[in-house]
Amino acid sequence: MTDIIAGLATGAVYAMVALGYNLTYLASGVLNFAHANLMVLGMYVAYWAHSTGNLATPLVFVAAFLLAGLAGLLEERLAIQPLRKAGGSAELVTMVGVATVITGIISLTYGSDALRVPFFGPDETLVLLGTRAQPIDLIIIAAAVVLALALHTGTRHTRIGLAALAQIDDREAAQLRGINVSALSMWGFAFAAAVGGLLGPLLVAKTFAAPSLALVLAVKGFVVLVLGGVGSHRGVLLAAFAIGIVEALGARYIGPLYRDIVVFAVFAVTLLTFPQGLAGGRKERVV
Amino acid sequence: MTVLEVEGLATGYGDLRVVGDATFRVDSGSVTALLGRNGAGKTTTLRAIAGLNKITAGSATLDGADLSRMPPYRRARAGIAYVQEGKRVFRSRTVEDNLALGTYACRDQARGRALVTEMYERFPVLAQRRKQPAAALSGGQQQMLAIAQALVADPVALMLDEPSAGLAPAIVGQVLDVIKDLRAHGLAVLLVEQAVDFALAAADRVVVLNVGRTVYSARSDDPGLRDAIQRAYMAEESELS
Amino acid sequence: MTTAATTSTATGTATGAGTSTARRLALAGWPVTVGLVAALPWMGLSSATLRLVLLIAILSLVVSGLNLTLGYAGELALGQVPLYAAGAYTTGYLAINVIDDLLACLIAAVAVALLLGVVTGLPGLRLGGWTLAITSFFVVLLIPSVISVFGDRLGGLEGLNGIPVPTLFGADLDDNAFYVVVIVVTAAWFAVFRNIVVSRHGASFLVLKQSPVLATAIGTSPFATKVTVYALSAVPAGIAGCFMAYLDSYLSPLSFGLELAIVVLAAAVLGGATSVYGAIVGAALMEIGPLRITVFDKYAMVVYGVFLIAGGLLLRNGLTGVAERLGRKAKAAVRSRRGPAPAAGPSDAAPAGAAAVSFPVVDGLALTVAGVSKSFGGNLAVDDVSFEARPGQITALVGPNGSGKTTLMNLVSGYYALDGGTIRLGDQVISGLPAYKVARRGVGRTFQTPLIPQGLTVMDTIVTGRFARHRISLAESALRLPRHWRALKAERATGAQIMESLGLAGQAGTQAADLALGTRRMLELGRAIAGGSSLVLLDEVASGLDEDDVHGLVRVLTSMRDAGITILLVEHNFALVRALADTIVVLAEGRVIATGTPAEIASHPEVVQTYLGQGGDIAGTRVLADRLDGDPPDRDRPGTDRLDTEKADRA
Repeated sequence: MTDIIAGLATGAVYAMVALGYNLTYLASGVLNFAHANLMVLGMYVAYWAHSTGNLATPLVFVAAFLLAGLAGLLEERLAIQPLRKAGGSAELVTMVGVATVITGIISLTYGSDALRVPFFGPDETLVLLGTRAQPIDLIIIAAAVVLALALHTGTRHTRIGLAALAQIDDREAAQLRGINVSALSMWGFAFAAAVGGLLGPLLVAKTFAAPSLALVLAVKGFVVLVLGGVGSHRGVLLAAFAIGIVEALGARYIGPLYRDIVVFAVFAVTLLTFPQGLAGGRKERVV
Repeated sequence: MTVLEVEGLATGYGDLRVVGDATFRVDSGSVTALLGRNGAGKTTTLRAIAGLNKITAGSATLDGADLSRMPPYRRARAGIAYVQEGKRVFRSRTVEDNLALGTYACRDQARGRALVTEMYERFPVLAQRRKQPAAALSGGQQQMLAIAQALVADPVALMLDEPSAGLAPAIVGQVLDVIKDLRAHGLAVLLVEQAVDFALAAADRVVVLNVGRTVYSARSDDPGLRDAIQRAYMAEESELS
Repeated sequence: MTTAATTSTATGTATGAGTSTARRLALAGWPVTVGLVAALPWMGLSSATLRLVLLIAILSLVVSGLNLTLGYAGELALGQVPLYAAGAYTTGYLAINVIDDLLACLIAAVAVALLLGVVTGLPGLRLGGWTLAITSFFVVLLIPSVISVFGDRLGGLEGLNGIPVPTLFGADLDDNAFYVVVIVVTAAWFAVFRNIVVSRHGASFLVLKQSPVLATAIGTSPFATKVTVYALSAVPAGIAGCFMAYLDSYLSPLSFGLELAIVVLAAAVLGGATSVYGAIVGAALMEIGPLRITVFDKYAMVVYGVFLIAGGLLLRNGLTGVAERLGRKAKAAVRSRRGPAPAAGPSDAAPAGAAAVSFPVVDGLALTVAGVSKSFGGNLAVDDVSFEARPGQITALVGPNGSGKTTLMNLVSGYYALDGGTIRLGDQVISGLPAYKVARRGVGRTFQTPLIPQGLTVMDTIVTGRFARHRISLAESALRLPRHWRALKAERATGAQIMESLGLAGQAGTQAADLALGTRRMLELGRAIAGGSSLVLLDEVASGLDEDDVHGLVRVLTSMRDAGITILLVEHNFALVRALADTIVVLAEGRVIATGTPAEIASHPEVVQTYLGQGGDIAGTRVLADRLDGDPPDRDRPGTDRLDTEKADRA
């Protein structure tokens, strides 16, 4: 049971990455490959605050929010927007570039070792329904659920959410209906990045801060996204929890070395069994 | 009263100039049809008015206001409604969502909501299928939805690109009725059509484009009209340019 | 037929290989260049320089695999690094423990890389795009875990030491001999790579990249093609791994990480992913530049990242692409001084079908649709439909929107699986076959919105229609065996004949996607019949055409019918249907409500009420009797009295 809670918390971290992808996808039709790097950037803000001392916890969050948001804004303007009409995989390449630059700058400044940042909240182990649980795990799980619900509501029940959904269907037609798609993209992208950064200081106590973490998070986030269905916040949350549990149980019963191998195997088998993804399967007219 | 005025408009794609000199005007309560061969620049002209292609020379004004500097979404809010060819609705969204999206360009939201109710009365089938995704509608229903979506923005000028294309003849007849009705309600309609008989049945004025230039412009009951159209459709480029 | 000879660049232009002169030069230049590079050790170069050349060769092999998947198949798969690692570790393990023979290790390395490539690629390939990219990133992530799991055999995280000097057929290879082997094998791979890309297989990769639907319509299985490309891209990675193991005689799992994946991607982007030799350019730049400067190490990631951003933004298709674009701009400048671009104007080509129209005579096969039903999520779209389309006749399918016409066409094509009934072509059942197999049986089709891929010329586009029924294996193209040349000659000849019939003669080298709508529709017709189809399905082929185009279309369709092809037409333009069709089948709400000659249908009360309504006279582009100057068919066609008088005049 303890494993399950730890697994759920790991899953919640992946869910946050995948929800970030969803958000940038809804705002601009692009999955921000560098999203995990922006979250890691937020973690380093926390490390910086911790090592220099004297920065109130709320301010750490504000700083992480602003810095990541600014980075996301720049990314959208410099690496995404100019390629709108180019098509193909050009933006995939530039986003991998942005991710590499962020990772590069972090390693240049703080080296490539994992850095520990203590949790700002309570850290004594709780006993819950006869199981031991870390408060931070519970907080992270709750945060992921809240984030997913907020996004779900925001997409389905607000004017801006509907505009985003329309823009994914047909960007040109959305402009003709009076939607400022360029602003939607830019601010949506920046907001998603800022939220990613905001989560950094929360997650860092569980994950540690390391430049190499970004790729792991990016890949696991995508695994969860594909399984849960792009654009589906609830699907992503459920898939993330499932993968988190698989990972925890795999590490426990097969061996820590096999942790990622087990996740990959589960992912591969699922893709082969359900080629449209777990949530997919909507058939439209082909021609 | 002239609502939409296009004067010596030039536009194209990147370096490629498709339209060199399009000149015409559209009055309120009337339908102007833009005719010409494929590649004559009809759709490109509409795209330039809507802001999807850049106006490189000349002007397009709506109620006297210069459109050429506005981004597309502002032109929509200023009262230009453009229904693109190919029944382009938001396919994964429901009928209801599509109409709600139509009101985004409407300056008065209460008016927009009232117009949505009006559209459900005008097109009862849309009311029946309001919760279904647009992709599930038939081609004719999608075209009606596309027009309704443009109308709930309470536009001043409506541009229709090939509204009869891909529709069964009986539905084409219904589209014609809708256009006549909109004219009666005082809307300025600019129509691009390949089906000449349909265009002539709908239009008050006809403008013929050839290789991106206005080569003929007259009332649709002008006796020389059929001849002019015939010439435009048969002519080699060199004879006219 | 002379056109066939002068358009020999058709497939070449698809891949940017240039004119035939340039090709002949390249053909002669290639062995000379390889010979020169192979002779470098005897020209007094330092061993450091020679090592640099080897590193460039090895990296370019890895990059070429990525070019194949990213540039030609359009899938970003970073699996090259794990496959490279697999090749290297296979070689290391075999050389130390089993057999230290370069050839044996090379074969084993390629085999293992291939196997791993297919196994790890399969899950992501169906979805492609992001899923494939991420699956491949995931495999990169797994390298350290996998090597640790096999710690005792593969040296674990400390690395694999003591790989011996290679032998070949029992003799030790010295440094120079090893060098020559690497250069020759690398050159051989690039020759194979080029041969594949500059062939119909390259063209079919291009088609798949842009439209899987079209790929099946020309008889290629998208999944099989993707797996082929993915497997093929594993070959150079395996080779490179084998060479790397022998070159360094030491392998560390750390050298096969994300950073290498980024270097490979940067090299591909820099050199140009859609080019054969771009891989060498990119690899050379990376090896000569960043990878050699050790001070640079610290800033490496930042600089690669900037490379990728700048490369993605500015260098569309890399340095090779920049060179090509400059060339094209120069050409365009020359052209614009002469007058408007030929592709933009619809009417400067001879009107379609104006020339004496003749198509190769084929044995049309009857299409029999018997009791076919199909429903989507409970909605019955096609309900017990039966009709027959006879060879040498035009059968038109008309009906209100949503009456199931296009669904029926997609059922015949094999895009949908039917729920009930059978579809026969001749006496063979084709229902139940996947779409690409239906195409291979001789069913061609066109699409409501013409599907003309970017990057193919008019000639290329037409000959893609032959892939379904005139198949050439990958090996035959890669090695340029005689069958490849024979097929090439045959498709050029057919292509030229079809272009002439369609009024496209002289446009063989024009970029097809830039043509006007009417011309693109003609091109689709040409592609649909290029393989000698016995049945063609035309989905709203007149939609959006102007009067001139429609009359050209009538001429072309009439002569296609006269060539014996079975034609099934879905069309809303009733005037056109009346003028063309031998039989009209009317659908309403998924059911056949009437079948008959045009005259019968035009006066059928139910049809008039549900389908024609008050729009019967005004819908669609006008079809003018006095412009139908093609031979009206000799059959008894009571619905075409206007044509009959015209025929009498001419006779």
